[in-house]
Amino acid sequence: MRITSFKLLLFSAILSIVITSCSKNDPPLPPVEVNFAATELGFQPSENEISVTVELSRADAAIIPVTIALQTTGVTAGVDFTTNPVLQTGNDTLKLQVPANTTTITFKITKTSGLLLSGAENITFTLVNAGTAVLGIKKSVKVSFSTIVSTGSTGLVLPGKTDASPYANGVYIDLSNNAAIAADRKSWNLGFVAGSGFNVVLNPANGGRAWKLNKTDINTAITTADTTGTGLDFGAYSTPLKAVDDLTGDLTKTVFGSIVAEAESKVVIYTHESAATADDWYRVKVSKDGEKYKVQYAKIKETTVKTVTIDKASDYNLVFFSLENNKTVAAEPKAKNWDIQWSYSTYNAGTLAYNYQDFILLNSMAGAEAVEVVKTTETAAAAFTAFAEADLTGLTFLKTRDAIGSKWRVTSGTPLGIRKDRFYVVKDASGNYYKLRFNKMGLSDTGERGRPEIEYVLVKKGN
Amino acid sequence: MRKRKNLYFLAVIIIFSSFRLYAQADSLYKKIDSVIVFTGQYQPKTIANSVFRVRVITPQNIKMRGATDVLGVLNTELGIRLSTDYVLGETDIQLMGMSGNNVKVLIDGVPVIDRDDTRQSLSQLNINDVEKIEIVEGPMSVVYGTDALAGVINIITKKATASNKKNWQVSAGLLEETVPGEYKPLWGNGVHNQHVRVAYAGTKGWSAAASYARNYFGGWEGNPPQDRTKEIKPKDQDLAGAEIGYKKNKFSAAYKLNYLLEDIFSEGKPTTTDPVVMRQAYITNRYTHLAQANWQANNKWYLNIAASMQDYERRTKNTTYNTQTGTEYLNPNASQDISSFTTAFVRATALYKLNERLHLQQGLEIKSDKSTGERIYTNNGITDYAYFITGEITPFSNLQVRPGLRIIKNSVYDAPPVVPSLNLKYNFTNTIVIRGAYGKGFRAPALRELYFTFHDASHDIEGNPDLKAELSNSFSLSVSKNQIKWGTTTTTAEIVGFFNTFKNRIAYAQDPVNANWTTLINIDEYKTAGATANATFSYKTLNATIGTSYIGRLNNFYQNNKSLPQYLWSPEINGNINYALKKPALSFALYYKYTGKVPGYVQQTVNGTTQITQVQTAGYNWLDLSASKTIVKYITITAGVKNLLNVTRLNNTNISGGGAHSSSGPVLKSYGRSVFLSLVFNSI
Repeated sequence: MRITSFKLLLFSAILSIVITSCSKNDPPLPPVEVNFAATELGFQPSENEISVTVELSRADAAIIPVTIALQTTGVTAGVDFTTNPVLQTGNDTLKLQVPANTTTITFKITKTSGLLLSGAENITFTLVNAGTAVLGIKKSVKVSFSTIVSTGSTGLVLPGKTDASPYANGVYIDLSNNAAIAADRKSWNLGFVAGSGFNVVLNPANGGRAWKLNKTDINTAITTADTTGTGLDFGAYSTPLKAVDDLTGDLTKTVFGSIVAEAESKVVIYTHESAATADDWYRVKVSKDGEKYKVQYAKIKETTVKTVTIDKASDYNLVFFSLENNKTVAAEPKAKNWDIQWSYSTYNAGTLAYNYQDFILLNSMAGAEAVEVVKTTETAAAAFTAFAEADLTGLTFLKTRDAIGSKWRVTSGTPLGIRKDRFYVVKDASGNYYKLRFNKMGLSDTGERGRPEIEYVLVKKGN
Repeated sequence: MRKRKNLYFLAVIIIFSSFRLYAQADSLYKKIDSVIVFTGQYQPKTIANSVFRVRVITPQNIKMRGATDVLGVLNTELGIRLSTDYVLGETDIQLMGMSGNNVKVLIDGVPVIDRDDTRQSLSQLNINDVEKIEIVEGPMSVVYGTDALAGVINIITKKATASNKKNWQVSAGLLEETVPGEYKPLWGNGVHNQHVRVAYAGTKGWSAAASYARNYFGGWEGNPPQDRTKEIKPKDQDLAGAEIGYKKNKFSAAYKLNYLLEDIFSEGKPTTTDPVVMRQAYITNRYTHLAQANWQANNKWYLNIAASMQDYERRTKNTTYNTQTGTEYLNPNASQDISSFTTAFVRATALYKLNERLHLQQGLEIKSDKSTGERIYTNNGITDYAYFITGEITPFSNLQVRPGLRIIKNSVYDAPPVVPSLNLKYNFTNTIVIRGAYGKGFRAPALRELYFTFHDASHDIEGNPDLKAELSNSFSLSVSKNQIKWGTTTTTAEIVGFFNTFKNRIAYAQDPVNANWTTLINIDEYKTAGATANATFSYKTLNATIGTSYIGRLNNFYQNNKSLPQYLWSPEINGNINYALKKPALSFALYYKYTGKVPGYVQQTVNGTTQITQVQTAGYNWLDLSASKTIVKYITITAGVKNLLNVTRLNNTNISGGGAHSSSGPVLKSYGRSVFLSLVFNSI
């Protein structure tokens, strides 16, 4: 009898503990917030089409219907421009549906060819309704029919992440045009200088590494003796710096060196991140062929050597070539259409070339410049807000590719995440100055890794 | 600060010098030899008669430590080192130069489940339910199976037994411990632990007990304070236990359930631009069911069956919290992983006493593990079947020989078919005992090593379903001299040497399929060697032990560079003093350990040239002091200072900085000196 009551006591005591532990309910998921990716956009001079992106703060299990109203200034829908998807009857409403489990949807505006413009024409799109989702701060976007110089943007999300990997893409950012364009970082192996000069660069975002041999004959296969001690056989995590291009972007210090005529040009062994074994390495010979590049290449044990000729393309920094797919590919936007790039990149880890994530490359080839402004964690936010044109005086801008690099964040050690004590000033190729800071990166903050968020404000407009 | 240190010393000296040694005939401490041990034994035996060398941490020592978990008791033991991962808030153990995944943790002889390599179980048990701790060094793989390469830590729990003709026993207590500069009494920062235990032992053979403990640690801001989160994360534990037992004639059975809810949490700090911070919690729910039955069928046959079901679930909860509005949401950008591990275990043994000279034990063991979660591929689990036989042969009264053999069949990987061991004990004289041991040890690849998959921004790791077991060969020899008497002083001394070789060690390596990924392969050869010596002194109510060890681990770079030392040696010295006064009834304890510097080598490539550089982590001295007094009949108060010498960060000469994965700079060992006070009510 005594035992029974005791057992009862015992089990009820345990039960009550178990119940209390279960009663801590999870909070709900945050509401889905809908925003335009940017609040001002403009047509590029040579283009008739522009994409406008609507972003969700998070993916949702349900389809999100989005209703957008539009107001035109100086242009008429259906006559001067069309949209895809098409406008609702009355030409003042656009309806979109964001598919389940996705975070963005874009619609396109195409202007009628031959349209004569005064420069003031624009359309303002405004989010009206998004079903169960709530509307965010960036509720409207003004699309100008001419180029714009953005006054800045908050919460610009860089879409680096795909379902496959958090760092699948490189993202090219055009500050003055509020654009963040993603491109597969592994799509190319070699970049050929498209403007003046003859130089070849490795793709740092694909862990490109190479070693120049002292031989000119590309037709004989490479033997083990050729590759031993080349610095490539240390593996991806311990490549000597000599096997990668100059980290500051100095084109006179590339692995390929100055491109010369075929007779003197040396064979280079090339490898990259995805090449698992030495059998996947390439032997490459690049030579100058008039105003073109001649590229001969094969995998190191293959007997047949492929030959391609690469033309220059003056609007771009580089012409990109994929050895794996045997063709030139589109990667970077035009030289003037990006300022900084967020990507994975080979960089200096003390004495070795190491693969860095969340690395910022400056478009130094096109003339962009940048400077880091370091304050303290307590004062940096106020200093950023206060930073104005007069503060540009006395700053020494760097013209190197790694001017921002990995300085803005800490991915290992403490304090982990974005360094809150600093911000940057970027001067684009058109002479516009933007102050810029990183707000989220998904490390020690509420953002998502692979989708960093930046904020920038125009400080001084170029001429 | 310096002044404060001196004050502590002064206080200690005054306390010690103000009481005269009180001569006391019946020592509070039993003779060391007559302590009963369980680990690896057919039936409980005295330590002096055990063929294995068993180290025992007594109830008195556990009480005097003011420890919050088992690790807090082990930290000054010889050959044991602790290392903490402050990101996960978990501490791993190293025994005789081998890391936690080679150490088997048992509760009353039954293996406890752990999440992966780290032995979380040692910090997830209610220390107030622990009666004593037994440690056996060297492989115990024949009896205990996988993981028991470096040794076994067997935690013996309190049992509900009638004493002093009382059926009921009630104990309750609280422990308060400071955290330097941040302590708040009873709530908030610091350690605030409470526990209660009720036990009942009936006259008809029934017994039952229930216990509950809450352990709260408020974390540590860090010095200098961290920008975002606390350097040591707060931890909150609820531990509940219940057991029921029955004993009649030659049969006994017991069932026990332990429940743990642990929450290790952290929260970011808001910035001027963003009031929303990240909150993260690792929430562990753990149910451990243990059932045991013993039956002496007749004078020759003794049967035992032990069974266990264990559920271990760890949730990673990520939320965002608005410090201005107080709204909290699940973080859609971060993991909400629930990793779950379940184990079913049964071991049946039959002991057959043919005669005084030959005892044979046979056993069957089945263990089945399952695991699910974000970082593991869907799998069918893994089941291990084993049969073992050991014998204790006593050809002469002064010689004991214990050979053993384990035969294993595993559902997934090719287990080592036969695992042998041989232990010898030879009483050279009545007081001089020589023990020799050879054992083959093995560690089965864990489910997480076979089916692991983890891909995020910083990791690309895949398991390897083709892994084989890690194997070891261990040899040890010890000589002990017991009961050396000088008048009223009793002394024992022991010296031990050991040598272990390991092969097929499972290690991370570059994935042959994808050069940027990491996988697990059987690659490493490893060796450890060492010697330990220890002595105990007992004079009236003064008990002291002193020990030293010198343990070497194989230098991985030696194979390719014979000019380097083959072993990396690190010394240790420890000493404990327990002293009891009769009037006033007071006991004192001192725990000291010197952990020597840990040398190592790292490979660096400078401009294409690979070079090997020596690095080291600094040594340190750890000292705890405590005093205990029974203030009224049932209430004992214990107070003390932990880490009196204020060890915080250990210097580390690894300066290969700049790399994303280099570890340089000082290693955080402790938050520094703290003071504790514990108050215990015990109805007996």
